Amino acid sequence: MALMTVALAKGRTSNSSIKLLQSAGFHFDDIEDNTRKLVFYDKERKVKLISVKAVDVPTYVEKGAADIGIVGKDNILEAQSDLYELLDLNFGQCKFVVAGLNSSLQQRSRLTVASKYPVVAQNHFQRKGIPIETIKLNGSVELAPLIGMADVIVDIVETGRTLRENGLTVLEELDHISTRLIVNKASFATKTDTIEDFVTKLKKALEG
Amino acid sequence: MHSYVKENKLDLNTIAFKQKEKVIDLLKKRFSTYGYQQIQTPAFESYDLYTTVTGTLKQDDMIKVIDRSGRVLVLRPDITIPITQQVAKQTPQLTEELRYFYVSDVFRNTSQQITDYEQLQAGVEFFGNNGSEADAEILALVEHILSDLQVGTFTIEIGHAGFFKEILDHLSLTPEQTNQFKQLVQAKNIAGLQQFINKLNMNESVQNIVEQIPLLYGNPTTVIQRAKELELPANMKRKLETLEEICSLLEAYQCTERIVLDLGLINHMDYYSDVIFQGFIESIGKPILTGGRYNHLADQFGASIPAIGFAFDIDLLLTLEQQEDPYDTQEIAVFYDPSKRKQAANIAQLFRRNGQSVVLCPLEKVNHFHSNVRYKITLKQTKNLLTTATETIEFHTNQELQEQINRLREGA
Repeated sequence: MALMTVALAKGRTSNSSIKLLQSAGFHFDDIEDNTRKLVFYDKERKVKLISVKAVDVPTYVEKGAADIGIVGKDNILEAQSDLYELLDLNFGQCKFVVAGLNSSLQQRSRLTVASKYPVVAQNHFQRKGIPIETIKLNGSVELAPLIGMADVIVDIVETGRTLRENGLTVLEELDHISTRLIVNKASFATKTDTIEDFVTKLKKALEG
Repeated sequence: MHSYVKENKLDLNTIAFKQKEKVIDLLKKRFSTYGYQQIQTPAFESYDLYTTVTGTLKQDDMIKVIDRSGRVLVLRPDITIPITQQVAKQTPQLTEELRYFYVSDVFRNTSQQITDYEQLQAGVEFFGNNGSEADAEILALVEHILSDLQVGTFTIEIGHAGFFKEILDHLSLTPEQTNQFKQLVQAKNIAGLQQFINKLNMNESVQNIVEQIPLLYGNPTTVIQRAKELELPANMKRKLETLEEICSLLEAYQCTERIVLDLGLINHMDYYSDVIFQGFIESIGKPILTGGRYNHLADQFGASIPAIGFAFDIDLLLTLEQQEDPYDTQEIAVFYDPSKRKQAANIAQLFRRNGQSVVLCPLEKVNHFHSNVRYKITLKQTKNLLTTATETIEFHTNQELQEQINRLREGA
């Protein structure tokens, strides 16, 4: 069977992903928390695992550099890539929210929204018919409303602790997020059996 | 656009260009063997053509130009639409069959990079035949070309544009819901689709079809069998029968091995009305070709003409790993001492007349010459040498040189 490349998001969900792969029967040599290696092979050398930044996973998969990706729905929504999304892996649960100071959404003709997810933010407010200006930030998004750079933020929250400790409240809840399995369309077309086999194994591991 | 920097030699894009020409040549020849004639559409077209035709291109994606009189023109953003318009204008009551092919650039500013605004497409349009045998013939041509290209594993996915439209008719969705639904089906996102369905009040048999659609993918016989087990409305049944007929006709061309059915396939071009398809190559992430039947596009130009076509994305095809190109070697090079200038020119013309490629280079500039040469001719003041990869031969007359080269050629 052909070698398959899987792009795995680093960070928040990588441990759960590796655990799932293991229970599905894919064991990778020297894959541990503190390794700096970026490429791993499973023992039967059927799967090549590449460890990439979460936001880049959809790009790797859409370009066909990886056949399969394991990444959060937040990054999939932001990338707007043309991909198959075959499984909901159910871990890494969180949700998109609009958050700000209490008065943030009141009577404004134009909102300034800070976010790591400008596309998601834009789409949400466009649906509601509210014109916005987006500011793309790469971290500590909660700061933006506090110092007056933005009216609200669009971000993912798990427990809401960071928001609370910075005096922000959730103004609106948007999409529910979890980790998904995405597949390149050309890979699916040309390696259908290999990919379906992989998906089935993961599905069984999820249920078991 | 490709550029290559080779060792010791700045080669802007001659290799990429030769490769591109080779692919184009191959496609043209294959189109001709199926009876297609080459045509071209104008590079500048009226903007109005594209704003009045519905279900085609986004206006923002087109590249606009303003002429002296202030008229807005667009750079050819599509080829199927202008060809259809021409055919509709000339023969609104088309009774014969027309087979056209084209190799043309289309211009769209969908990409960030300016070099990607221009995209070379090669494709065919077949007018005047609404039969499944025409569909099968087109698909056989697609398969034939993909085999010709020798690009490794490839797959042709076939679906039906009417299938998804039919389901939409059975649901009453808002435009936003339609969009969401379309995305879920395109992504084969079963989990998301189930959540979506649960929010709607849906008839059980329709719900069952909706859930199954993205999963109806794979071997044509199996997929058709599985689809038949669903309680399909009459219209959808007919569409399934069309696909079944096409697949069974394809068996005559012996190319069913590379073909899969995908009943969840949706094309972004709304003008497709019946069978739609796309082709994938193993190492390229996007479809290398897309196409389908568009029987109602001509309606918009006041004619009724059945038509089917497809287009290859040549630039995407050329992103495949470049192999060492046999054409990269210079056939004959003549290095000459200034005193032998005349003889050098004579030799060059002698071989050029026979259609061989020759370059001339004075001996003092030999260090600036970096191409690989198959037959290297050196005209020194005192003697003349012919050098190949394996031997060096001295010669005295042009006649003798020609004989030596012919002999070496035959040996090779």
